[in-house]
Amino acid sequence: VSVKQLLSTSWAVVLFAGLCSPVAAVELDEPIRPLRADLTLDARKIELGRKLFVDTRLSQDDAVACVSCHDFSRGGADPRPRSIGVRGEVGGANAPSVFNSGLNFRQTWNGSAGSLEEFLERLIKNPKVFDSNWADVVGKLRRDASLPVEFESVYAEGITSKTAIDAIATFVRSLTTPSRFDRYLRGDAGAISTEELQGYARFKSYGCVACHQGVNVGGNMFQKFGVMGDYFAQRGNITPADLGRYNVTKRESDKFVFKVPSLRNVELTAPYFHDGSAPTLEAAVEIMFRYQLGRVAPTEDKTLIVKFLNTLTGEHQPRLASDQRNEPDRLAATRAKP
Amino acid sequence: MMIARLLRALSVIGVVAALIVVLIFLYTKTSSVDAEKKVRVEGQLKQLKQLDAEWNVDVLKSRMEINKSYDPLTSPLPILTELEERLADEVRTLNQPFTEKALSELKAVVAEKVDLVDQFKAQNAVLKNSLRYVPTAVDDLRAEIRADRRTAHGISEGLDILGARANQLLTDVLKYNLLPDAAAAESIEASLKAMENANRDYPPNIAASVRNVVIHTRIVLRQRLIESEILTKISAAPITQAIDQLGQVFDRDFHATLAESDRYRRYLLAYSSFLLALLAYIGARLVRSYRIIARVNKDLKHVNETLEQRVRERTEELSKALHELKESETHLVQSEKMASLGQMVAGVAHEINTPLSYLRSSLETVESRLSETVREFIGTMVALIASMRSGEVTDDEIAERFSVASTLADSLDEFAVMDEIQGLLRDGVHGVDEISKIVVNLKNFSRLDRSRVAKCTVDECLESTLQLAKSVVKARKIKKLYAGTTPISCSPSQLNQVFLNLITNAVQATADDDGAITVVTRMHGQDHVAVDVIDNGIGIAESVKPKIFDPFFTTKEVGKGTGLGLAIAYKIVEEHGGAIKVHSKEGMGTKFRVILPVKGVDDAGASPETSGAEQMAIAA
Repeated sequence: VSVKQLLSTSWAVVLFAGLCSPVAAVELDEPIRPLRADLTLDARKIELGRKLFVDTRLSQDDAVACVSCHDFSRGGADPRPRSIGVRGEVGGANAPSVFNSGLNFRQTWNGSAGSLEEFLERLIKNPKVFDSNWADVVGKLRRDASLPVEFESVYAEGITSKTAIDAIATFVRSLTTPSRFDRYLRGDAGAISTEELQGYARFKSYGCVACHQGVNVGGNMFQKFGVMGDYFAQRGNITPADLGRYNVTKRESDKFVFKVPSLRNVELTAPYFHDGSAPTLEAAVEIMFRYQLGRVAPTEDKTLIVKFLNTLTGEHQPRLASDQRNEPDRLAATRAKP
Repeated sequence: MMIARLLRALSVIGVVAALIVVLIFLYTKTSSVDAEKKVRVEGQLKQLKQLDAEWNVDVLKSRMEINKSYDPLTSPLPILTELEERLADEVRTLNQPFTEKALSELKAVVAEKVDLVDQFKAQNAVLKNSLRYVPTAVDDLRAEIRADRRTAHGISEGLDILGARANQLLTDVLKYNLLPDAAAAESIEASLKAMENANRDYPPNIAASVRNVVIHTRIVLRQRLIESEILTKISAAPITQAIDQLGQVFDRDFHATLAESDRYRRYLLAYSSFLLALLAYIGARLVRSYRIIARVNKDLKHVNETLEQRVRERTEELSKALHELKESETHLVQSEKMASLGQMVAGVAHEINTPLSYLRSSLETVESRLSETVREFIGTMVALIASMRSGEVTDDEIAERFSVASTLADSLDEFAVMDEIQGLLRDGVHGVDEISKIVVNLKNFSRLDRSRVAKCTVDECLESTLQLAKSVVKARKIKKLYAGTTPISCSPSQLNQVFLNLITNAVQATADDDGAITVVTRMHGQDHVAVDVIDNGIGIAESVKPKIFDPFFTTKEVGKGTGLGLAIAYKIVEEHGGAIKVHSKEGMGTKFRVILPVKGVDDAGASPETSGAEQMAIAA
């Protein structure tokens, strides 16, 4: 039974239990669901994945790590409008947050990967990201002084592309960020302020919640960017990445269709959208009103909505360094590289 | 040879490998069917079906907004993927193309449905928003109209109509949402057009509200249609059919595989029986071979044992025969010796006879002389002396008697009787000497009185042999050329036998009157002496020459020669470490050359057989 199988089985079980257990009666029945607190992940695998997450040996030029684009101080997202990969290559999109990404129904902006594993399998070969391959990466990792032994103590087969991917995916799945709003959803009425609650009401009434719903406040569907207006015509300079889901399905109706991003930690993940075009949350909300909702709203409503969005910020942001060991030097070195 | 063996070994290995490969093939063919696979696959298909059904329900719940988020629509995805993977694993091991095709069809249908659900979510979200917004927009419009009515006058009638139309529109839209049909859509579109047409007459704020209502109503119309299409497609997605199809094909393929496995099991059984029979045959052959080997071994062992016995017996026989042969050889050597001696005895007897006869005559003469004259003189002398001593006799008588005595003495002196006697006695002594010489030679020849090995010269040996052989040699001229050789260590009696044989042969090869025999001795190098016995006889024929040293070969008449003479001579010389050679020319003569080492034989080196034979010969 693979880890994946276990996870998916536990998904189903947890979902079922969540719907039927007496706790559900206390929980509020809202379009947004609280984060589950009962992740069953192997802590040793998480630690191995944590190490690989900051390991620049994943990239062909030993300069780029996962963490290069997923800044843990920025909600696990990239503060640069376009992410920069191996040899300073500028990517097509702004890296979305890695936090809670295990809860997304598919990975990447256009949903090209069905799972984190599939995503990692391909990301390593992406010429603008790592431009490597798992055989090379595994070869480099196997020459490490301690990593092979550590892997062997967790995975019988030691370091392989499969175990390395599994470790990283497990680590990423562990990066959930329970927020004040989750507490509110669980029945803690005092967890958010009245204004924030009003913001949530606006969020629902203006229709934001039509797409940003579920446990990840998004991340469970595709939607066209520009339902109520042509965002790209307005913005101009259309890039291949702007075609979104079309790049996967080649279906005309999928042009400019993207995975609806999760709004968890949205307060920290500026700039916004796949093109990183909105530098602030207010600007992003403005664009959403205009092109997605086709609505005009008073500024105070938008302000309330932003206030609500801030309640989605994880109360404890995941840390890159493991509890046992701090690796500031290594992180600093990784960050320093372009 | 090597290559042939190698090829043979390779072909045997090849045959064995082929047999094993066939066995493995049949085994995998029979063992590849997992009986529980059917149960598992059926379970998975059932689970898939149920999941799909629940998914459909969730789509409808989302449509009805019973589901407030789309999570229930995405949560089946990982389970779907996992089920598909497990099914793929099961189908892969079944290795049946139709099942694989059915599975890929199912996967395609599922992927299509996943895509439809994704579209549903996107379209449903847009519809939901506009649908939710239309009442608000209509409310907003009505509020604008009410506000405008308080301030503006004149076009209130038109605004009333607008308000009523908006109300009607809202009702129609909500109705349309519940029961979308083309007629309702047309009437809604007609009122939307009417509102748009009248819009330029309205104040800007109202016009904006109208536009809002129109846009979102149109979106509802459009999205409701799209959603209906998607929902129709979702409900029509032939997942159940694909699952059933896969189930049927799998069932058929599984049973086919089972049947095939069953067939292969029978093959395997037959093949195993064949292999067993083959093994039994090989085993039987091995046992038989082993038995044969065991029997042969036993026979061999037996033969070995009896062989030892036989060898022992044969050895005994042989040693007995050898013993007998040695004995007979000894006898032969002895008889040859005796024959040689026999030949000599006549000569020796003659040799002795001659001095004996003149010894006898001398002695007889002496006897006669002494008896007559000497006895008379002695008597006279005695009478004279007696008469003189008595004194009774006259002088005359004395004178007479003296004159008689004197006369007798004169006669004795005159006839030199004493000289004669002395000569006769001397002759007698000479005869005795001659005889004793012959005896000495005889003794020398046989050396019965000496140690077997002695130091002597070949000259001495030849001389004593020639002395003995005198009677044989007769009138033949003997020429002796002795070089005064170094004494050699040898068995003189044996060497004498050799020389006697050679001389006898020379004598026999030559005529009595003009035969000439030359014996030569000389040093042959420092360590060897050479003895040549040369005759001018008839010589030896070339054809005969190689055989002359063979035992029992003789050119003499039957009964005259033993045929052993030269063979024994050859053997004796060989035992002395020497060599005997012959040079002969028919009609010209023959030369035998004997070469002997000075060191020769010593007591220790003498072969025991020879000494034994010699001793026996002596004893005989």
